[in-house]
Amino acid sequence: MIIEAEGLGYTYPGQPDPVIRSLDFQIEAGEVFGFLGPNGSGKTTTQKLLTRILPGYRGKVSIFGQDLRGQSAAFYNRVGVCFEFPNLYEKLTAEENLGFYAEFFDVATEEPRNVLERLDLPVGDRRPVSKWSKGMKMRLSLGRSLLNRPPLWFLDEPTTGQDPAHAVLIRQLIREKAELGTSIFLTTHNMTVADELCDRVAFLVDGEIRVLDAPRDLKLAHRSQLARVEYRNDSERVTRDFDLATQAEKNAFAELVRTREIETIHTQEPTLEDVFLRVTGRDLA
Amino acid sequence: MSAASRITTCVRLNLRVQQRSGFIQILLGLALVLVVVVRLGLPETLWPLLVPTMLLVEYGAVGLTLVAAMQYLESNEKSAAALAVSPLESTEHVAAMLLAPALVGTVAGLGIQAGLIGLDARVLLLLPPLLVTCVLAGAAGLWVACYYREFTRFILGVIPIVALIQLPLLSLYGLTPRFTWLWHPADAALYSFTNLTEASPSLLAWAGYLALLVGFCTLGFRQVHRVYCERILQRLGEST
Ligand SMILES: Nc1ncnc2c1ncn2[C@@H]1O[C@H](COP(=O)(O)OP(=O)(O)OP(=O)(O)O)[C@@H](O)[C@H]1O
Ligand SMILES: [Mg+2]
Repeated sequence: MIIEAEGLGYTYPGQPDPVIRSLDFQIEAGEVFGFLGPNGSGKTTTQKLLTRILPGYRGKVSIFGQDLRGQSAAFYNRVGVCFEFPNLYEKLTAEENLGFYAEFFDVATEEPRNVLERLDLPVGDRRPVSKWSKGMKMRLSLGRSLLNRPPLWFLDEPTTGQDPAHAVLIRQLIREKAELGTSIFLTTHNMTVADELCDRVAFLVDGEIRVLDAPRDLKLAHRSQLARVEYRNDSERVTRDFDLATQAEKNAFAELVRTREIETIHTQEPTLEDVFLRVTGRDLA
Repeated sequence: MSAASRITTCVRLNLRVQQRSGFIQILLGLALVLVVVVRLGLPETLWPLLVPTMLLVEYGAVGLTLVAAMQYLESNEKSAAALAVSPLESTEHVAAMLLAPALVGTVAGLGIQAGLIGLDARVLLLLPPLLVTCVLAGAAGLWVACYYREFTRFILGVIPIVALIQLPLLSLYGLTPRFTWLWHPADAALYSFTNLTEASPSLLAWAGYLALLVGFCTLGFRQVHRVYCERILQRLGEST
């Protein structure tokens, strides 16, 4: 196990109610673990607890088999953390931001220019990063979290603010790292990313994990028994839904297929997004 | 990577940021202006009083403002959070935050010395107390910055500390007996300095001062590190 959380809870100082109630989960080495949930459900807070930024939590967390509470800063030689918002030295260049940071590690680090190239950022740009766009700064923060080639990588919404091409680039990078055996704790609102990349996803709602499973199993579990049929009735196109859970509807469905000229039949496969909306009860529509 | 090399990296990082923000240029420029004004405008008989005064003012200004400036920059840009998830320990980070401006302050102090009295080998005796006093001034600045995040409040909080740093000047001006401020952290730099200008300092006295300063530094560092962890690191988690 790379991460084990038992009864993990947290209340912000001065707040009456806990933000994280009691989380129990385990993440295996090499796993990509998706952490999903509505705005304000406590995803970022959880990442901060697991990365030691927020002290004073309840319960027990072990990372690399060691209690998180007793760790020194040497812990970060094996961990990469990318925050929700870019946090860079705005007055320094990108290479300076990466170069100084790389010097803190005891382990072998990536070449700053390789990191920049990998993330499609300009090499040799003499401007301070304050002149860069938000998406570029985000990618630079992401790159910085990879400098030490961490076996455990925390990502808080890495594709936010990225154009489609760069979102794909980041997705590829995550997949590449996962294939190399990196364990990844991935917070995201992007269901395509979660569905494609995650071995398992947890849905966090109001500080509690509502469900936790592989995306495929979740979709299967939430599959509806609904079939939508489009057929011709004389010259008119008709659409009809059948709930195949009941015998009468099943018979009607069979009858229709036998007697009519069918144009399309679709079983309503839920997407991870449908599962999200159902599980979190946040169907805003 | 040892603690020393991590601190060195962090000091270089701080200096680079401060240079890009123009702080270092301002403080070294201030030292230059002081030297020029004194050289051109003031009678040499006043120098023995003025030069130490300027030194202490420079420590105060350099230590306090640079550390506080760094603190503001880091928490505004949240780059402190990036350091918090690196192998740099919080003690090492605080040490670097104090050392970086102390180096600038020492250079400025030496500049004033060189510009007005000239440098000789005895400056080696002056260096350690200069550096340590700057560290202490920085610790005071960081300590205040941890409590008062808003700029005007910070300045108000800093004024009494700057005044405290200047206390040994009272003896220099003959307002209090010479050894009243012997225990005072800034007195060592002052004492070394006046010694340098008058006669060879007594090595024993100098070593005693240094030991006292190191004691003050350790105490100041511990205190400011505790406050930094309680007030800044905790808030960092809440605000990033
Ligand atoms: N510093 C803080 N002090 C008090 N409450 C906070 C603080 N930071 C966050 N919260 C509260 O904790 C809850 C969880 O916030 P968190 O940022 O972890 O949510 P999230 O799941 O990451 O949301 P998002 O999807 O918008 O990023 C929210 O209700 C938020 O208001
Ligand atoms: Mg968040």
